[in-house]
Order: sequence, then C-alpha cells, then structure tokens
Amino acid sequence: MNLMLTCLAALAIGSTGTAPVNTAAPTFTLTDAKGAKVSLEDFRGKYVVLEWWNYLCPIVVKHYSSQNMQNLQRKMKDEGVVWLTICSSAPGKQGHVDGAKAMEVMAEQKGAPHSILLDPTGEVGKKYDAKTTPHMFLVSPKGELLYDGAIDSIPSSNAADIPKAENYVLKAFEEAKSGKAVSNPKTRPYGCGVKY
Amino acid sequence: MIATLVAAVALAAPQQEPPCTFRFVSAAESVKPGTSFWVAGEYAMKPEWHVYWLNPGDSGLPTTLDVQLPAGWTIGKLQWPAPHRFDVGGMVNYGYERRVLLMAEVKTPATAKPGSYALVAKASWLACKEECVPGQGTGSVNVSIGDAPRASGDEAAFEAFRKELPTRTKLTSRATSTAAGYRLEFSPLGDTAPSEAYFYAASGDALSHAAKQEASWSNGKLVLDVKRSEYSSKTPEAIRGVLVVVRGKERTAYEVSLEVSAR
Repeated sequence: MNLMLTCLAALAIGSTGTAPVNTAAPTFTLTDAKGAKVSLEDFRGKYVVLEWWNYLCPIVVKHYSSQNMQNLQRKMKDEGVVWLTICSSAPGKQGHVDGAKAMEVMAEQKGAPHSILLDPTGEVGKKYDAKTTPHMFLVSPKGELLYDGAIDSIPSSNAADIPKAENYVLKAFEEAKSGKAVSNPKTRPYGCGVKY
Repeated sequence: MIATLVAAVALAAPQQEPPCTFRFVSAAESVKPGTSFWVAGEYAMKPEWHVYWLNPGDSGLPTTLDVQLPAGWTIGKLQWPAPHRFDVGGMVNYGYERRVLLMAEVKTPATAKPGSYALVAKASWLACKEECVPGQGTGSVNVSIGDAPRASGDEAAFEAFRKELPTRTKLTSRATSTAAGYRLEFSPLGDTAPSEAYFYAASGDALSHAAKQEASWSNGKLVLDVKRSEYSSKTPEAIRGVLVVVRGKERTAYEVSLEVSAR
C-alpha cells in the first residue's frame, strides 16, 4: 500500500508540468548582462546553481544586505560551481533590469555570480516554475535537476534568522558532491512572487 | 555599501506612508483577577495591499504577533480570521486586505494584585501589492486588575473580527487520496448549494494553491477535488485548514482537520 502511494505521489509530481527533481533540467539559452548568449549546456561537467533574482524584493535584500548570498556565490565559485543569477521581472515590473543596470547593482552589492541572465519574457522562469525571489535550483554536471526550492529553512524577511537557518542549496551541493542522494530535493521556496 | 541598501529599500517603497500600519490593542481596560480578556494585533493596509495568513500561499510570509506578558499571565493560540485568496500573476496567495485583527485570549492569574500591568507586543509582516514591503511594529497596552471590569474603546473591533473567525461547528469530513491529490468531503452544510467553496490548507506543502478546486454538491454534502502540492513529500495523516463556504453575501468558515485515507 505504501509503495502504491509513493508511486501515485511520484506520478502526480511528474504531471505538474514543472521539471521533477532527478530528471533533466530544462535547457535554455539567455542573453547575459554583458550581451553574450549563455546556455545551460555550456556548463556540462560542472554543477550549476540557478538563483531567481529581483534586487528590490525585501527577501532578496535580506540575503544580499547580510552578505549571505554573496558568501554563498563565492563559496560555490571556489568549489568550481557555475552560478547563474536570473532575472525574470517583466519590463515595467519591480526588479526589471537591463544589462547595464544588472551589472551596476551586482557590482555595488559585491555579488559574484558567473553571469546574470536576463529573462524579461519569463520564458525560462516559467519552464522552471520559478515562483519566488529568491528561488534556487541546483543542476548536476550531467544536467539533472538536483534541487528545487528555498534558499534556507527559515522563511522570513529578517536577516537575523540567517545564522539559525540551514542553507538548503549548500546542503544539496555537499550531499551531491560526496556521492549521496540529495536528502531534501524539493522544498517550498519563500520570498516575493516572481514579477512575470 | 550601506547607502546602496538603504536606497534599494527606499525604491521598494516609493510612498512616504508605509503600506501597513500596526497597533496593539486590548478589548479590556480593566479585569478581575483570574478572568480572561482579548488582545490583538491590528494590521491596517492601504488600498490594494495585503498581508498574509499563517499559510501565505505561493509567495509571501506569514504575519506574526508576539506578546510579552506580566509574570504568571498566559496567552492562548493566535486566532486567524478566515483568509481571502489573491491571484497575483498566476500565483495564489492567502491573506487579508484593508484591515485585520489577529486576536488571542489572555488569562490573568487569580492571585494577580490590583494595579496596572503592561503588555508589550512585537509584530512582523510582509505587505504586498505587486511589490512587497516588509514591516515590523511594536505596541503596548496597559490593563488594570481591579473589581470593576471595563471594556476598552477597541472592543467593537474585536466583536467585528470575531465574526470572521472560523467556527468550530463540527462537520463530518474526510480526505481520500486520488491520483492528482485528494477528494475532500464535508457535511452537513445546509440545504442549498453554496455559490462558492474553497479549502485553505494550513500547511503550505499540502495542497496546490493555484490549482482550481473542483466542487460538487449533493444533499448537504460538499465534495472538493483538490490537487496535491508539488512540495508534498509524503501523504500526511491529516490535512488541517479552513473551509470557506459562500452563499451570496454570506461567507461561513469552518475550522477542520481531515483524516487522510487511501483510495
């Protein structure tokens, strides 16, 4: 019985239209803030983190004002992970940036993503069903989705909660790197809704 | 660095006036020792802005209220009025517009000495329209212990929001697993079919917030076919939440806990 329920649950998740974890991450090509085309496939052989970003969202501000996001970006970079920050805010909506503005904001915040990708049509955000900013994904060197969800375990807008929270992205990466299955591959993201 | 961040926050809130203001209020000015009274956080929103229920839905954050009491006093669970649903760009959120009181009942000890006592509250919220602005507030009220109980000027607001609380009227309810989610059944719900019915799950990873809930009605029994949350990792033993049944202008809310059984 239990087994059957598990199968049903797996089927139900598979049918939601979003990419289920442990299957191929949706591929995409977007223009980065410097004007270059960047594809997910460019980074086969490396872990890739996708970070959905709206620099004016208070929950994003929480993770940048505390340096939490930048610290994680640098740590991942040191581990050889490719970090792609994606902005799916539509033109006219909060957090929408052109390439120059994206670079300026990220430089001021001393962020260290590999690239900032511009997704003003929301096409890639919708492929991943990115719901909030931040909403984090981890892709394996083979291009499989390993993690989809919240940045950490305490949904709040208060930076004082960060030291108490478990960082799910880091945890998923460390588990995957040491050959283990990601113990919590899908969590509920928290933050502002993506401004499609 | 700090200047940049301040600028970013200021941009997020172009208006001078914050989208949500907070007051901490008491329904009583004076109470007898050993009796109870109600306190509440009042969150007042500008038009079109909302704050969130305990399950905020697809985005947002739950509103909080934390009350510090004099020694020996106790406080009950926060009472959440029945939430409303907001569809923001294809994502569904649960919360409140205009104004809401989150109430809790305070019990004084029988041994409390006459005098004035201060209760201090801290609150936090995320107020959103299209964009979001987080807020934090504090407030305090003084309540006297004495022989003559006396209501405060805010008591009427408590009465108004008490009507918005889900009733504990016992419904017969159950949830059965289906391929896509659950079939929820509730009865008895009166003689006429409701014009609208919706189940708000208290946990954010039980049900899909955005999927349509398919309702059917027969002989006082309401059936809702709901979709499982994509964040649901295992079938829960029970699904707790609030059923809202609308008939014309009348909105009735029931607090329910549905035991889940396999098909």
